[in-house]
Amino acid sequence: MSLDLNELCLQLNQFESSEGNTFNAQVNDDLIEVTCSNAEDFPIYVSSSEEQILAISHLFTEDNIKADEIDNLNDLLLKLSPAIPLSAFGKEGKLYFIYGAMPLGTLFSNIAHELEVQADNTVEALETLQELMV
Amino acid sequence: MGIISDLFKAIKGGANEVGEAIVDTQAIRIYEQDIREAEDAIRKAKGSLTRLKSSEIALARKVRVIEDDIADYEQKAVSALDAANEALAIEIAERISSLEEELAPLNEELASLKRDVLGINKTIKNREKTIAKNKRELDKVKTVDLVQKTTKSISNNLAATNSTTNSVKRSLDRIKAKQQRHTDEMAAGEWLEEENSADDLDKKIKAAGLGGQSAGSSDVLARLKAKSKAK
Repeated sequence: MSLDLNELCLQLNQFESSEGNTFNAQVNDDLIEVTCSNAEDFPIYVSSSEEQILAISHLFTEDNIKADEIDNLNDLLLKLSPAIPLSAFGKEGKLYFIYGAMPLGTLFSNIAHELEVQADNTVEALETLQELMV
Repeated sequence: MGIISDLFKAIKGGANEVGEAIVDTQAIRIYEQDIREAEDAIRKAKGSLTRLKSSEIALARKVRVIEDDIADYEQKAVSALDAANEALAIEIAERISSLEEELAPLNEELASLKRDVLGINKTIKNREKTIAKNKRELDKVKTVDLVQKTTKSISNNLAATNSTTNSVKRSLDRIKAKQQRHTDEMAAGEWLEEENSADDLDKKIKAAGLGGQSAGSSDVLARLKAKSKAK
């Protein structure tokens, strides 16, 4: 069993949260690229395995960070992680990202809530970490 | 050591560029195949276990019937002895002896079946635990695979949109401006609401005949007349 991306995409495009936020979602290959109206320039990429749903938002690449601040950044991200609800920081190659993981059977309302919070967290994290950027 | 340790070694070994496979997809398929085969073996073992258990139940029932017969004959033998019918008592004792001879190998067979059932049951439970553990490990590997595929798509997208530090800052500024607009609109809405409620209050006070009355034209005329007389 895996996630029906087209169905999730459809539900996201029809949804409006209690905060008044809406989603703009489209399926690209095995992913949904979704933007939340609270952070339109920062898309979230939703994918799934047989067990879980993964939502990843790009933050920046290592090249966007001042060379002498990389260690400081990594330290800061590890310390910030527990304080950020529903999201965690990750790194793949030079790419830093913020992500959330949910079990495959998660209710749509919870998925939508998690994506909304992740969009908020992305903006907040970028604002906080902006001073370390080149 | 589990999968995390293997992944750690792979990352440390330099397989950490975006899109570079930390996870060997062939290894995932082999792992999945192993789990499927182990599950199939457990299914077959459970089939054997069911057959063994049903043999054990049938044999236990047969043993119980013979034991009940023996107990019954023993009681009858005692009664025969009590009635001083020695000949009948001997005949019954012979029957008991024959039943006991029949019972002994059945009891041995039953004990052996019970051991087999317990053994197979334990093996199945242990294998199920191992499979569950392997599935969890496999899921870790698949998650890494999924993260890699997703970040590869992000990287391709970034290359296409030429995302830079400046564009991130511009986006944040746009979001801040939007949030500010939203806050201003909310404040304007609240102001309007307060204004409307203040108007309502004034109307209510006026309707109640309270507060200062505005000067009517007759008041103005009276004032002008008084001014004219004073000249």
